[in-house]
Amino acid sequence: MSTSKSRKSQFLNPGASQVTASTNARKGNVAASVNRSKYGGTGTMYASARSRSNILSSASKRSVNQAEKAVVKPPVQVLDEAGNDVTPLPLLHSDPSAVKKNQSNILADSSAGTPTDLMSQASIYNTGNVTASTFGGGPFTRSVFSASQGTTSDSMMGEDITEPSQDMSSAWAEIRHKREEVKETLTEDDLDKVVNLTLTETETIWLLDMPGTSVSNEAEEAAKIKKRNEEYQELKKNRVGNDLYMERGMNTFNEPAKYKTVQTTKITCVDTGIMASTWDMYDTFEQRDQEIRAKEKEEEEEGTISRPSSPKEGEDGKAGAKPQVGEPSGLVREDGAKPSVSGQPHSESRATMASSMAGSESVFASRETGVSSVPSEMSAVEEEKIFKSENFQRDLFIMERVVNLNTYQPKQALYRDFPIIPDIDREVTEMGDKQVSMVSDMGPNFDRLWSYSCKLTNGRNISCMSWNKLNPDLIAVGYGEFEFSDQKSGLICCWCLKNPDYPERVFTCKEGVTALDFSKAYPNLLAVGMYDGGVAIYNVASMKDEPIVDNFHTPGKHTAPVWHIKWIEKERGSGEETSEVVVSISTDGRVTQWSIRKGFECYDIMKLKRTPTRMGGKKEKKGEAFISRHAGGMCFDFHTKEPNIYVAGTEEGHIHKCSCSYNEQYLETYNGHTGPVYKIEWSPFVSDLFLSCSADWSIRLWHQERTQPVLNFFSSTKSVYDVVWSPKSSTVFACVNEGAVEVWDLSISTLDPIITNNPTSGAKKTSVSFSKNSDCILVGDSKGELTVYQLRSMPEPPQTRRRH
Amino acid sequence: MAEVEETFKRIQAHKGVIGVIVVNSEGIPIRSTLDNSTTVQYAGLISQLAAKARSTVRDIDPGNDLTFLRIRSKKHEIMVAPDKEYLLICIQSPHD
Repeated sequence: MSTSKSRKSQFLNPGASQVTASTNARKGNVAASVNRSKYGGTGTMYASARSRSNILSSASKRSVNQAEKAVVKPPVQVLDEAGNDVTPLPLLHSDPSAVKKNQSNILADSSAGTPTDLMSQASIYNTGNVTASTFGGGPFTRSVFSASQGTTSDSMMGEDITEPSQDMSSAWAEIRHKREEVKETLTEDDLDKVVNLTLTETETIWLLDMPGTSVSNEAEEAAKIKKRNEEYQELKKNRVGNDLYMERGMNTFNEPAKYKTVQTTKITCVDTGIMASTWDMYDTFEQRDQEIRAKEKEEEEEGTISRPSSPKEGEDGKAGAKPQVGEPSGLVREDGAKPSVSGQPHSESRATMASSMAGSESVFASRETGVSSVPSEMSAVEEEKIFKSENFQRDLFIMERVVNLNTYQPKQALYRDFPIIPDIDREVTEMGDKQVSMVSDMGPNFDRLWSYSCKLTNGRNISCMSWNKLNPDLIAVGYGEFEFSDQKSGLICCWCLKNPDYPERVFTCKEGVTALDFSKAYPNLLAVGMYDGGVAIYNVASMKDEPIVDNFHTPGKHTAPVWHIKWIEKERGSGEETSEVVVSISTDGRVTQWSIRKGFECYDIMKLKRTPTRMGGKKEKKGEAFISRHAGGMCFDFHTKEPNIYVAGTEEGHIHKCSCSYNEQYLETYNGHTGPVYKIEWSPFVSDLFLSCSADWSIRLWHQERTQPVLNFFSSTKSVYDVVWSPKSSTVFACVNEGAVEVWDLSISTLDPIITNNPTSGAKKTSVSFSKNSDCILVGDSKGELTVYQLRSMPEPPQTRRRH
Repeated sequence: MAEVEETFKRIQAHKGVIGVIVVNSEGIPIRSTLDNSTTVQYAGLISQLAAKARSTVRDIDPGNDLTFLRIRSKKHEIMVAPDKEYLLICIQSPHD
């Protein structure tokens, strides 16, 4: 009967790992399930092993062997009024490996059979004592439950079940088998057998541990604690027999359970998710701050009716919720509900954009089908709104520039002296290298970069050019015919380096434009002189096609074409700050100063008088009948150092040096040209020299002290329309005659230009200008094309001359 | 309005430009110079890419924002000007 002891030990040491007769364990498990059923049930007692086996087999749900399911019907059944089987199922589907632990419990209960027995068993369990009671008791008395265990387990004693890994179903089968065997082997003799029971002490299980605390006698609370301790002692003494403490049992009513149901409307749950990215949160806070600020501002200006937030809403055209400061604006329901704050379409779009790829794909999938079915009115309205918006226009503008950049990038890089990035996707031909080397051996030369022209300007003669003083990429070009016979309406175009295809600004004028100049003090003002003598000032910052002032109706208007116009800084009166005035010269012989202070005032600085020609040695012609006493002025230039002194060139060929202080007399006259002087310019480096060009095929270099030219340049048989000094080198200047562009360098040769370029386009070259921020030269011709050439291999500017 | 139209035409007529598309905030193309299927394809794909690019830029610094996006490929260059209300896309083949 070793099995019994094993069982007991198990009972005693639920935690101990003593593995002994495992059959016991198994049996116990089975019994446990039996008990369970009993718990819920009425707790009937089963007095026979036979019945127990029944119970066992029926109660164990898990490992019920089909073969033995004959007696499946649970002996304990709970039926409610309706006759439904509401037998509580065992809570625990016993784990075979855990079976061992449970067994002792179960076995005890099975023998006991009543709820009270359970409790007693529990108490036995707790104390950890095993009553190795007599073996002689019946299997179902509590006191001899161990014995009963023993009896039942006798049959199994042979078995040694140390490996818990045995197959459970077979174990169950075994158990049942053994159960049946038990029936046979129980005899009276067995009762007399000696059973060895082993007692072992379980490990100590602490159920309640209240360690005492000690307090020093000198502590503050010592007195209190001592008093309490004494009170407690008193209490203990008084407890026994004290009326205050009595043990009494009570019976409470077993109220029947009542069930109550309440029906509510379905509580809809909505799942909302949002991915808050860093910028989403930033935007939310920004918006909130803005609203707070707006509200503060509002409070300051109490009288204002308009609320800063409502125009914003009105713009959106949504009847969205008024912005609520507390709510985060970034929260957008994925189910498409309106954004909580300010109803701006952008947050919605952001939601569609910020949502996962899957989400957005679904949106766009719907778009695909929806493209054709979108109501045309909505898209038209939207389209207009978008097109009208400033942002769109700006973006279009930038896009145009970018597109241009793509096309012109190498050329523009050359302009700026940037290294050209080769296009890696373009196929490179072998020829490229050879050409490059050739070019560099050629000496100073031109390289045509691009030309500014568009439909608007085709066929118009370029008459003048002026660089913007603030933005060196911007050039204003005036289109107007020189000949009286060809007059058409004039045009002013402002071209920018970044867009060679279309001008940034286009201003149309009734008359041909003959002179242009940008102001230095107000870089957006452009003074224009026209063929009919009109002078107008345009503001290029605005897109309007009208001048801000013009002199078309003032009496001081020139009566002949204005050939040259310039903004001059003048000192006004006694040392006041300099202001700029416009000075113009025209064929009617007047050099007029225009100021914009009150209206458009004009003031003749000078009336050019005809001077009789003095050809050295020839006799003076007497009494020429002049048609007019005035000489037609063609050009002028103010001295770089002395703002009162200027030189003016006339139609007769004389050049006069004048001063603003004298409007009757010339300071000096320079004779040399035999034809109208088209252009005159002081040297930017050497303040006493000036150049002039004229229709007599020559360019002359003068010194202001000498009335005879210092140098004459004859290079062609065409009249020279324009001459201009190079801003970079003191000995270089460029000129255009009808057929060619020439660049002269006086340090190399005074007889020939170093570069002559004869483009064969057939158009007359009419104006030339150096670019300020690059080594390029711009040439305008009579077909309306403004070509940009890059100067290459130019000689070094002389080092001693510095720009004044 | 007329200026916008003119600028539009000029861009379209520029050398190498294959097409110009204007897409609204929901991804519907409202103006295009290409055929429908291509337009829709570009509109959808580019919108997503622009959104992603914008998100990237703003995640790094929320005070920043995307102003222009250029995608250069072997055959063309796609230029995108994104905005809250719309998306302007231009496809150009820069070299002949």
